[in-house]
Amino acid sequence: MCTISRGKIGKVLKSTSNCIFENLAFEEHIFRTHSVEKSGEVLLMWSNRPTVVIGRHQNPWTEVNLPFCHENDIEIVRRHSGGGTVYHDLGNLNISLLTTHAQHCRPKNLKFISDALNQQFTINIVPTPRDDMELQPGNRKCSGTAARIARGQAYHHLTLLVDADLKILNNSLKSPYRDQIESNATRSVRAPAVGFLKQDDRNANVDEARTAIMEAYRKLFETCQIEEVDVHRRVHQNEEIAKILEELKSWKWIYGKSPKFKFLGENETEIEVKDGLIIGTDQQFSTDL
Amino acid sequence: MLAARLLGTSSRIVKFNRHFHTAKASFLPIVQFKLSDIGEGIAEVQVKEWYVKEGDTISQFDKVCEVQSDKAAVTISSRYDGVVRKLYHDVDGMARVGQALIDVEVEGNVEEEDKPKKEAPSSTPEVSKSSSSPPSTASEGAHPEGKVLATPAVRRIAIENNVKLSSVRGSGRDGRILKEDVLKFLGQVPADHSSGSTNIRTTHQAPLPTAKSYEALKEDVAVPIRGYTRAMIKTMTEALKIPHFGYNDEINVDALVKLRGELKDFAKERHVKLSYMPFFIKAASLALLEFPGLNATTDDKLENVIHKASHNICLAMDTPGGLVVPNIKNCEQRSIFEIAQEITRLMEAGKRQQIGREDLVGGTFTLSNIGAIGGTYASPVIFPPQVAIGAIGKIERLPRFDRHDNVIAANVIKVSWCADHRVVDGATMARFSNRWKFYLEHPSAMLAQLK
Repeated sequence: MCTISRGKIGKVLKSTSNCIFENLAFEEHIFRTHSVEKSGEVLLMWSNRPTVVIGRHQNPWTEVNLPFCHENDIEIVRRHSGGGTVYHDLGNLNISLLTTHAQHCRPKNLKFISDALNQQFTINIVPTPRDDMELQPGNRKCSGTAARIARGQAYHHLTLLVDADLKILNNSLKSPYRDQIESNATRSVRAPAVGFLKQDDRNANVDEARTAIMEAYRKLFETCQIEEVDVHRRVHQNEEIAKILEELKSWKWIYGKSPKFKFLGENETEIEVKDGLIIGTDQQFSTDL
Repeated sequence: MLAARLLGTSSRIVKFNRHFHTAKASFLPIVQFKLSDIGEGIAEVQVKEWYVKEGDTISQFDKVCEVQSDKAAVTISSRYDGVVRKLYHDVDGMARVGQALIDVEVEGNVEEEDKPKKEAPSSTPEVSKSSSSPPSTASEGAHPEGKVLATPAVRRIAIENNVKLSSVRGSGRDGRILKEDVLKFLGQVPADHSSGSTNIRTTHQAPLPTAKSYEALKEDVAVPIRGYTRAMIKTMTEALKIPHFGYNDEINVDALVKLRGELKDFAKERHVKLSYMPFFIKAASLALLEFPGLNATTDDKLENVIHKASHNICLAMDTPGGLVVPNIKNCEQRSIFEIAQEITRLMEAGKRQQIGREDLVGGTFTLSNIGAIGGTYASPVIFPPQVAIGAIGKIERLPRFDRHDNVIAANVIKVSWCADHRVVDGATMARFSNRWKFYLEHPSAMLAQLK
């Protein structure tokens, strides 16, 4: 699975947008249109306003504290890759590595990233077998990984908590309904402990982290271009990307894509939900609210 | 399995394991699209979403489904064009790598990956040709050559034959290039052509019938065991009571190839079809003069080994009815041409399934010409009550060293002997093999013993 050579051409794209939808749409667009075989691998990095991101096949009602997020203006987003739910805000750096399917190797990516960060800051980040990253000592999870593979290409993306408000994080990821939902959707594996880089190195910040990773990535290639991309403009100028954006924002995608599930209410009522819509229930509902 | 040790091919259903069909519109084969390894180091993934349902028409590269393994969401794209006939998993079902995901009814001809090219259900594994089943090169993101439409199977044929797809005119849907378009381009419809290492030995087998029906089984079929196969069961069961030992060697047949070339015209004059087999048989017979213990039979109670005076050398033959092993009587008294004529007679009779009892009894030693179909080394099974057997592989052109340590191209065959270890020892077999080898590598030695 892990091959040796990395190829000759790399490209680094730094997004100037802080909107999660725009960034994810841009990422997906690159995945669909950029040919790694022809034009080389890509590293995309961005940060965004407070958001909870659920995985492709997850259930937001199980994973996210929806009322809390609505109250606190935290966006809820479903991404295209698998894996679990993460919270991030501007203290988080999102890293996305695009390669061919054959060259896709998450452990290798995590290694060069953690090495770069450990050198830059006085921290000790260690990749785990599940492809997360933990700050040691204490097994504090500071990074979650997900991947998407299609058409012979793959991307590996991960979050990196440089600075985070753990209280908000914990609240937004704890759904009050999680025990009342029966579903085959992917369940997030809750980390026993969560940490961020600034806990161990007060000087850690997103900009420096980004630069460190970028430099390390550069070294893997013969030639590497670095570009700052005005993603906001690109997304709205390009029809294809705009379409992806619309889909990402749609209710149908965020909530409707949830795998079929059963909600167990009080008094043992059962409600069946498919595609985000109630399809069956054994209870009568009154229409007065 | 007993059936796996062959004296010759034994499949009753399909005999040739590589042949081309022309696509027929009257029946469309159903291909199992298997889940290929997605490289996550795991054997199982969960099917999360289907993009197709039974009855849908799909094209190559269309999305089939989403599967997930822990952290990776993978989109599976179709390898084939056709109509979806079956989905093997429900949503949330676990799909195993290497197993069927969907059935697709394909137009034109498509080969399944990871499967030998035979579709016979009760097929016995053949002694494999060195060019094995097609590698699954059709990766999810295969790049079409220019804008040419062709399935991966057709592309492979084009590549193997150095055909530029852009020069072939496609007769399929949307100008798609089908297998027979490439074949027509090559001027070979139908062709009995095998790629991979060249098999220089000619085969005596009849030209293969064209446009054989090609349809995968839809359900289990019970094929009653009759005729030759019944006999084979009895013989092979007996045979495996014999402790076999094997001895293999490699023979340089440059001299033999030259010799046969020289004799071609002369043989034609005499109306003799001269393959390599008569030489192998005659050389064996000459060698057996020195090692009579190998041209022998054991009696029932194993009290005696009877060294037989006549060399009745058996030939494993593949007939439409299955494996038959007739013998050529008194090879020690026959010339190479006479042996060749006997072979031809037996082959003709075999094709018509009319080999007489007289030809089937009294054999004392057996040779299998499996190389006519393919293969190098083999594990032949002794034909009781004989005590030895040899299987001869195909002629290959391989690099070898000459006596000055230069690398030269040599014609090489491999031979696999097996003998009854209760009455034959390794040294005897080895020496016999060396002598046989010597005769083939130095045909003049055979000449020297002419009476």
